[in-house]
Amino acid sequence: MHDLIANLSMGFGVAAQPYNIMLCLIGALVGTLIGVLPGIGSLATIAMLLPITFGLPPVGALIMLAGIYYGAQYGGSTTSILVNIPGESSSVVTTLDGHQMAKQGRAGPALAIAAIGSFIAGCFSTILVAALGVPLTSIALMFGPAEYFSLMVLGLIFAVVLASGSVLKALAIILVGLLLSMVGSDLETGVSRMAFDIPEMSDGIGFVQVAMGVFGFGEILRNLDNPGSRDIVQSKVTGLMPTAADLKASSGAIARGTILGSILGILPGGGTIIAAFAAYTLEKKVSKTPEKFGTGLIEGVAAPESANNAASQTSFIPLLTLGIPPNAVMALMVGAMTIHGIVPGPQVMTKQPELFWGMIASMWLGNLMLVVINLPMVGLWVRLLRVPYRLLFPMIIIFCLVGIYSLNNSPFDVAMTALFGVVGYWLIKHDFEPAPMLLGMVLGPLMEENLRRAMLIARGDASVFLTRPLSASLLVLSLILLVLAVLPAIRKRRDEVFVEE
Amino acid sequence: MSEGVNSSPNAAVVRSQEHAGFAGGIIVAFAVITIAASIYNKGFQFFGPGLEPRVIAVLLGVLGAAVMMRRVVIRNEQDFYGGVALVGLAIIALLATADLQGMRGFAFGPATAPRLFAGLLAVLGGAVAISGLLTEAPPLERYDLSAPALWSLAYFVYHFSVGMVWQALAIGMIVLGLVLAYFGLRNPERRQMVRGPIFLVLSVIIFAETIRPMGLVFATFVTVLVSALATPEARWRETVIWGAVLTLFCSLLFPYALALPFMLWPKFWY
Repeated sequence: MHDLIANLSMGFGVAAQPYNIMLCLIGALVGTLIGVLPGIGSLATIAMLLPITFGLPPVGALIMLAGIYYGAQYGGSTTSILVNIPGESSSVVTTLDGHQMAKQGRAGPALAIAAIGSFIAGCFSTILVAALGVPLTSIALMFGPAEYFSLMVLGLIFAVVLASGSVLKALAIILVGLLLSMVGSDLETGVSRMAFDIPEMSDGIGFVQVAMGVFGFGEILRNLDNPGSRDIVQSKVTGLMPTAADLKASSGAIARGTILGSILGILPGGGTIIAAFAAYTLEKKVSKTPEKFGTGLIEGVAAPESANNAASQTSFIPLLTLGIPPNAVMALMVGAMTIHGIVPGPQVMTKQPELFWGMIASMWLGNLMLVVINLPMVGLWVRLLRVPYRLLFPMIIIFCLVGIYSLNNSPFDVAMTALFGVVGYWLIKHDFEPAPMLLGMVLGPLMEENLRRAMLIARGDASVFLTRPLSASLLVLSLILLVLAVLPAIRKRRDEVFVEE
Repeated sequence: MSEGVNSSPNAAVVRSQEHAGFAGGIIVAFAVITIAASIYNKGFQFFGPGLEPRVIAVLLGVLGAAVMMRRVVIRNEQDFYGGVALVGLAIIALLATADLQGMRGFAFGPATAPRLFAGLLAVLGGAVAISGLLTEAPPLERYDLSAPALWSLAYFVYHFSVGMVWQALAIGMIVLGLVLAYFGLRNPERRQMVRGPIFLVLSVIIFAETIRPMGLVFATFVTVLVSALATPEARWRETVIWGAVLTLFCSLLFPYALALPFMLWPKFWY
C-alpha cells in the first residue's frame, strides 16, 4: 500500500509537469473531437493521429495517445445522445436511452451523467491499474515461452467468444491475422517469407495500414452505402446539471457498470463494446422496471458509459504488465510504443517506472479534464455534428493518407491501405468481424516466437504445453471457453447480448 | 472477387443461382492459376512441399465447377463465398512458403509456423464454406469490388515486378478496371453500389502515385476532389473550396506544425 502511494505520487509528479499536462489536454480534446464524428472509431482515430506523436518524447507521446483514446470514448457518447448515431461502436447502447432523453429535452443531464459516470469509472479503474500492476508483473516473470504461448491462445479464444457472430468464422479470421503477421523477414533466420520479392514487404505488412484500411476506409465505404439522415437534436442544450433524483437513480448503475467494465476490460479479447453491452443487459436484469429501458431511462446511459470507460482503462493492464494487447486498440498502442523504442511488457515497470506510473496518473488527470472542459463545450460539438458527411469523409481520408504516408515516407504503405480498405469492405459484406483479425496480427509474431522457443527448449516435444501446469491450465481454460461458446444454450445468451433493441 | 446478389428474401434460392456462373468461374480460374503457378515453380515433382496447395486447389476447382454448373445450392452465400476465399488465401500462403525450409530436426524453420497456420486456415475456411451450404441466410448484400480490387493489386504488380510481361499485365488490369468502372457507373441500377468503392480507392491510389513526384499540395487537392465523388451528394463548387481549405490546412499542419518531412511542391520546381 505504501509502495502504491509512493509510486502514484511519482506518477503524478511526471503527469503534472506542464508539458505533459498540455499533451494530455491536447490528446483528450483531439480525441473527443474525432470521437464525436460518427463513423470513425477510436482505433482509426489513434491510427490517424499516431504520426503527430512522433516528435514527442516517449512519455509524452503515450500520455497523449492514452488521452486520445479515452477522449474518443467520451466523444462517442456525445454523438450517441445528440444524434442517435454512435460516434464509437462502444456507445451503441448509449443511443437507446440517451437519445430518448435528448428528445425529451433532457440532453443536458444525459451528457452530464455520461461524463460523471465515466469519471467515476475512470477513478476506480486508475486505482485498479495501479494496484494490479505490481502483482501481475511478478506473475509475468514466472512465465516461460510455453506459458506465454498458451496465454496468447487464451487471449485469442476470448476474442472469439466475446465477438459477435459465428465462432467458426471468428476463428478463421484470427488465422488470417496470424498469417498476415508472418509476412516479411523470419525472426530467427532472416529469410523473407511470403513477401513476393517486394522489398517493402520484407519488413512485414504494417499494422497501422491494415487497421486504417479495414476500420477507417471499410467503415467510410459502409457509411456511403447507407446515407441515413441524421436526426440531430435541434434545441439548445440547457440545464446540464442532473437532478438529485437522477443522481440517486444512476448511482447504482454507475457502480455496477464500473465493476463489470473493469473486469471485462482486463480479459483479453474483451474491451469496451462488450463491456457497454453487458452493463446495459445487467442493468435491465437488476432493474425493477426493465420495460422502461429504451424510453429515456438515465440508468441506461449511466451504466454503459461507466462500463466502457472502465474497460478502456483496465485494458491497459495486460498490455503494461504482460506485454499482451487484449484488444485491437491496445494492439495499436503496442505499435506506438515500439515506434518510440519501448517494448511493452513486465520490464516497462521496472526499467521505466516514470513512464508506467506517469501514464497511469495521466489517465486520471485526463478524465478530470474531460469532465471539466467538455461539458461546457457541448455546444461546439453539436455544431461540429452539423457538418455534412459529404465534407467529412474526404477530410478523414486525406488525414489518414497523409498520416500513413508519414509513417515511413512510403507510397507503398498508402497503396496497402487501399487494398485493405477493399478487404475491410469485403469482410463487412461477408459478415466477418475484423477486430479479431487485427488482434491475431499483433499477437502473431509473439506467438510464433514463443511457440518456437518452447519447442526448441522441449527438444521438439509438443507435450510441453500440457506438462507445464500453468500452461496446461491456460489451454484447458481456452478449450472450455471454446466449448461453452459453441454450446447452443450459451450461444443464445451470447446473441442476446449483441441484439440491438 | 465474388459478386453479390440482389436482396429480395423471397427469391433467395432462385437469385443465388444467377451469379453462380460468374462466381464459380472465378473459383475455377483461381484454382487453375494456382495449380499452374505451383507446377511452374516446382516442376512435375508431385510429392514434397508443393503438394498440399495443389491438392487443395484441385478440390477448390472441383467445387467451383460444381457451383458453375449449378450442382450445389448455396443457401448462405456470405459464409460460402467467404469460406472459399479463405481457402484461396490459405493456398496462396502455402504456395508462397513452398520454397522455404520447414522443420530442421526439432527446430522450427521459417516456413513451419506459416504452413501450420495456413493449413488450419484451409480447414476452417473449408468448414465455413460447408456451413454456407448447410445453413440458411438472407442473400448477400449486393456489392462489386472488381475495379477497386484490380487497381489496388495493379499498383503492386506495376511497381514491384520485373519484366515486360508483368508490366503489361498491370496496365491490362488498370484498363480492365477502368472499363468495368465505366460500365458500372453508366448503369443506373449499379451506379449507387459501385460509386463509393471506385472513387475512394481511386483517390487513394492517386495519392500514392502523386505524393512523391508532385508534392503534398497537388496530391492533397486532387485526392480530396476525387474522393468527394464517392457520394452522389457531391457539389462541384463546394468540393473545390473544401479541397483548397483542406490542402491549406494539411500543408500548414504536417510540414510546419508537426515538422514532418514533406515536399510541398512538385519535384521539377526545385
